[in-house]
Amino acid sequence: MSVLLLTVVGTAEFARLLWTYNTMVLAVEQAARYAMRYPHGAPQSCAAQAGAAECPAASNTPLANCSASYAQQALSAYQLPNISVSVAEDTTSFPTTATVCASYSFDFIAPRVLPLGPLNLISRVTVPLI
Amino acid sequence: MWQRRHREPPDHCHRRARRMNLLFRLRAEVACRIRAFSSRIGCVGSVATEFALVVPTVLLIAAGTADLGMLATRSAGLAATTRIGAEYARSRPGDQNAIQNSMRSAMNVAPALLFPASFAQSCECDDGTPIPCAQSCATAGRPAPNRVFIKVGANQAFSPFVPWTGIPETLSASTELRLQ
Repeated sequence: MSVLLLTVVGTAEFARLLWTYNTMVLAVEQAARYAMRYPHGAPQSCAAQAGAAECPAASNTPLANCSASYAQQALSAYQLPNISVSVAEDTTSFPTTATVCASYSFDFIAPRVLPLGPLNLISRVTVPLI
Repeated sequence: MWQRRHREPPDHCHRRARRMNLLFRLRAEVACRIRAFSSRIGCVGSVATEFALVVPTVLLIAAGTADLGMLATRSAGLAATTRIGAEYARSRPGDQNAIQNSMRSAMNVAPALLFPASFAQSCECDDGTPIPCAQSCATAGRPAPNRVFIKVGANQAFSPFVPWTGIPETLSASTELRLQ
């Protein structure tokens, strides 16, 4: 019975983990494509981004701020608003690149059944801005 | 007067009966213990058999779940990579190497990505009829303008824990983008 319970809870928890990670990959990729689409400046003004732990330091440029805001919108649409996003522009490389990074500390709902957490999920995409 | 004579059994008969009684009881006790022991052995044996039957099944289910999860994650990552490549191709559709590099450096995926020989471009007229890209729809008497598409694809090797039938050894993803 306990093995069955562990299997069921473990399957559900790892499915949630996988879903969270895949959503992070999707949001980060969409924000990266947004940055590629508007390499010379975002079409609107956005609030300064807060940055994310274990990610490159966030750039305070209109494109980086708007890309981060775009990623946050995508994450909120998938009911994952607590994920931190950071967008960093590297103007020293050629071509200029933007790194979109999302990080999240994943906690299992039943930590006594699965004492494995918290797990740090990080998804990162680097794209050229041409 | 006739009297029934009560004959007392001789003393050795009493002893014999007691001995037989004890022997029967002893035999019953031994038989009972043998039955209990063999029943215990049978119980342990059936638990071991059930364990041997269930463990491979549970392991297969766990491996299958993990393989499907990995397949979903890798497929999603690969599809995202091709969308980034297609976004790059929007600006420079002819630069195959740069498109490939943009995909390689986007997510640092492992194992390495494999690419087709070229990212094919296709064209069609405004009514959806295919046409060679060298031809113009207007001159061919079809509704203009030409629509130009590029298909950016990539493959990646996938090695599951168990070689399931139906799970591919190579993952493929592609994104088609309209250039004009």
